Amino acid sequence: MASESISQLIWFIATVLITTSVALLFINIIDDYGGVLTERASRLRGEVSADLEIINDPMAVPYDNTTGNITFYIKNTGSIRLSIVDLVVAANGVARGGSEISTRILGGGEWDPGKVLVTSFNVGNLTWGVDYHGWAQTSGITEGGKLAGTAWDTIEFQIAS
Amino acid sequence: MATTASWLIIMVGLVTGLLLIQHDVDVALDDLKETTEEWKRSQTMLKNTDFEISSAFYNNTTSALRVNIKNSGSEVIPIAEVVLLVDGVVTSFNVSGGSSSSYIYPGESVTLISTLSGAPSRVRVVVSWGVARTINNIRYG
Repeated sequence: MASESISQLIWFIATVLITTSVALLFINIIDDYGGVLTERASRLRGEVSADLEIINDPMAVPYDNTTGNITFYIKNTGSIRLSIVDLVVAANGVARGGSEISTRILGGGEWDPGKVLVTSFNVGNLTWGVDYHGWAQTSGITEGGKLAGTAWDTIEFQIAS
Repeated sequence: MATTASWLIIMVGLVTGLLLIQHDVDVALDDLKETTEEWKRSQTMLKNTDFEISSAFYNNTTSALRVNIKNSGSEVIPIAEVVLLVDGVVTSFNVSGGSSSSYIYPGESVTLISTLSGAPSRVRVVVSWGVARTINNIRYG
């Protein structure tokens, strides 16, 4: 009789311990899922909010034959500020970023929505009358200063005569 | 007894988990709702933003380029967002006409005036959302 009670007690304690562990596991999983859900929603918002467009005249992109510098005009067409530091631009298969590109904002200030960034970078040996492919890519910046989303655009162009 | 206690513990765990996730779900849903609304708003504004270059005239004597544009869409175009590209290069300009110095209202026409160093062959105007029009049949006189 006594041994049966002890056996039942051990069984009860074991069951409670196992189910408590399972319940704690559930809580952790659900909590983690909540964090992931919030992060993904925030990331999606960044993706939608960050946007840019290369607004050059595709038939006359400024190009300095002496220095080999090409100029892209890139407009922030999204609804959040874009990162100048993270900007990467490319033309004719040559990608440049960081200290390899010079940048300025038309009218000054930051690269806020509606503002145009002028960037020049070196791409040698471009020829007038030839079609080239270019692109630009950067990240959005949230009000809290975090990077959010990717903005990019491509252009098929010829250099100005 | 053990079965009842197990079920109770599991249910308490699930309820606690749901209470913990509720805040995250609320934040995520708010984010998604705002994202959807923002996307719809921007798409509507992009769809409704339109303009045409009525004419472009270059005066050989004064070296002045006059580009007439008309807001043919249903969205207001901020003048601060208008970019003038002459032969591919961003060029500064003054604005003449229109009822406001800051906006081009739907149906309104304004003239962009710029003094150049030589006769242009292509003019491109870009407004909000990157909407652009190009003209290469410039009149000279």
